[in-house]
Amino acid sequence: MVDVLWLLNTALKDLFSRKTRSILTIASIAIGIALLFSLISLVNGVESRSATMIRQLTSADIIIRNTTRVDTSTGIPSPEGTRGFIRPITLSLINESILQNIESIESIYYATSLLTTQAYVDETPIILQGVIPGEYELVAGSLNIINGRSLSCLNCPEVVVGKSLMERLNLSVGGTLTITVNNTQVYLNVVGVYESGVQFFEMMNVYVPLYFLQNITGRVGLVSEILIKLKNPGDAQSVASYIQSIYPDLRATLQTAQIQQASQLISTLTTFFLTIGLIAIIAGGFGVANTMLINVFERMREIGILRAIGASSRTILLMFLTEALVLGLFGGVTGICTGFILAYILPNYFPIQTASRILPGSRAFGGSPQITQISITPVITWDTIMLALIIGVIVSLLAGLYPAWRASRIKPIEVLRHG
Amino acid sequence: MDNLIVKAENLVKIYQSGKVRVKALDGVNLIAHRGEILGIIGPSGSGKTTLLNIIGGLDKPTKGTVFIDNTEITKLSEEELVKFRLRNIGFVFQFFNLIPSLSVVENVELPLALLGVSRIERRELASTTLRELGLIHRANFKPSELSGGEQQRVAIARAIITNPKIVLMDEPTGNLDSENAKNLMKFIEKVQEKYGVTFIIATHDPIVVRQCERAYILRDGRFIEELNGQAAVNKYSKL
Ligand SMILES: Nc1ncnc2c1ncn2[C@@H]1O[C@H](COP(=O)(O)OP(=O)(O)OP(=O)(O)O)[C@@H](O)[C@H]1O
Ligand SMILES: [Mg+2]
Repeated sequence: MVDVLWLLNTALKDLFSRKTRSILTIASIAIGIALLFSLISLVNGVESRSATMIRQLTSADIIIRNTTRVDTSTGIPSPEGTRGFIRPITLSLINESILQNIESIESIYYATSLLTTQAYVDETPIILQGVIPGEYELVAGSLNIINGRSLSCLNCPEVVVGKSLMERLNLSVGGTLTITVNNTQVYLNVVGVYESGVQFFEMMNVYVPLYFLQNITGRVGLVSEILIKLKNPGDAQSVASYIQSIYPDLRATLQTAQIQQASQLISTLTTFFLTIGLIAIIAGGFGVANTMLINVFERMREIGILRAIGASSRTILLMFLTEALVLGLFGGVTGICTGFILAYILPNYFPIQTASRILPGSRAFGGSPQITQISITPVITWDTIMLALIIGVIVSLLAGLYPAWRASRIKPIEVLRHG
Repeated sequence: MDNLIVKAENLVKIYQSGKVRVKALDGVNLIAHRGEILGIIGPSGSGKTTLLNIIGGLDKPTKGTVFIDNTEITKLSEEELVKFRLRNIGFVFQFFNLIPSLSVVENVELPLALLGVSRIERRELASTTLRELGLIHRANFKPSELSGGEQQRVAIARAIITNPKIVLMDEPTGNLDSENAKNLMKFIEKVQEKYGVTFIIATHDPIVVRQCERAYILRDGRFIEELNGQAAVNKYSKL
């Protein structure tokens, strides 16, 4: 029996003797692999980002919002001349007094309220999260304070800022953060720095005491959301329905539902991109089949000679499958390299606005759907690399199957008879 | 069969394509002795190639038997024939004998690779053979870089590398001018002396026929007579 090295050597030499055709064939596989690889890496990027966000933001079991729309004047319009990255908040607020009624529901462990408002640092939009220190942590989980301390009062100009924003502004604990709210400048004492691991999140969210925020925005007694932690998270559905039956204007959203929604969207995206990638790869497969068939026809005499001098049909089959394998490997590797580059380039050409859609109404974005330009960093894993390589090889082998079989059926006397 | 290496008896080959029936061989007998150069000569369409293919186990006769060194190859299955050819029979065709993408030495190694001989051993054996046949300076050439005569010599080197029982050649000089044809025949004689190879050559080239110890004359698939090479040339030079 022939050895593997001989098969590889002959396959390489043959492919090399038809350089142009081989390169085109490799390219036809590589395109599909590159697409698949970059798209999967991007979806992975979105997935890991949103997973981090959800994990950070969703220790509350139920979020209550007022779904009544108001005209945008209730929201805060962007200051003149700023590029509006963030659409003004368009949901109505909730009267704080509702909180007391809700807190009396038996299965609730703790409830707190939250006011979110858009503000600007220089011309960069940020979101002020007005929270009740002490309560907020019980419901939503503690922020990871890496420097300084958390908020300590209900109505004072204190602020906890994300690490990334601190670095951007070159601020340190004890310094002053100047923000613009409703065209008024407000000075806040930076008391602490938190880290979340998601840069975008750290850039956007700034925590201040709830009453202070209500005062400076003229919304005393109003909040954007009520966050609820249950004694038993399993009750979430029934508690949410109960609240909604008492307050038809409010909407109680389960965080599990949000997570589900997000992961459903991600799996839809993955399927969609996988399909596109696979279609491209199948097209590449036809390229391989075509090239290999042409090779078989061109090499009829060669195959006849090999058969005459004692190559079994199995050897011929292996020879052609080896060629398919080599094409698949080269196509796979080229595709992965191209896909790697593509994964980093693509997001620049398609400013992805998915973040807020993937997490509809997530508090990370101020409690209302907002369209925000963020860049997605692809996540490249060995799994993806192996998957791309294996798909390339398998598609190529499948495509080579028929031509190889044809080659193995060639009868020496038939192809050697005439010049 | 001590001195006898090939014994073919009563070979009949009928080609049937649609309604057309061609009797390519009609009761041909043939024997070949160990180490001889045997010619099969006859005009175009007389059945030379057909006979050679059947002796070489590339084709099956409609009737008749072929023994090669006590093996009745007409009884072997397709797969057994492949193995038999690899070990026992060398082939040289009129043209295009070599794999274009492989170098000369790799072409010569081919049967050894198919036999599963190790890389080092087969390279050594192929190089030795090329050296002995005065072809070593072409070892790393591609077939397309060789002259027609050189290509045929390399094909002969490949045919004898497994030390086969017989080497079958179909019009080996068909693509060569007379000068190259003469040189190739000298080469074949050298190989025969050196390695004791048995050659069976189908040809209508007088240059080849002259060097044959015996020649079978075929016409219309029938055996006409057996002569020595020179006599055959004298009698049938107008073929
Ligand atoms: N596969 C085939 N199908 C039908 N007829 C065939 C086939 N192969 C050979 N023949 C016929 O058999 C006869 C003998 O052919 P063969 O090729 O053996 O002759 P040849 O002596 O080798 O001729 P040449 O000198 O032209 O090579 C011819 O009439 C040819 O047409
Ligand atoms: Mg012929």
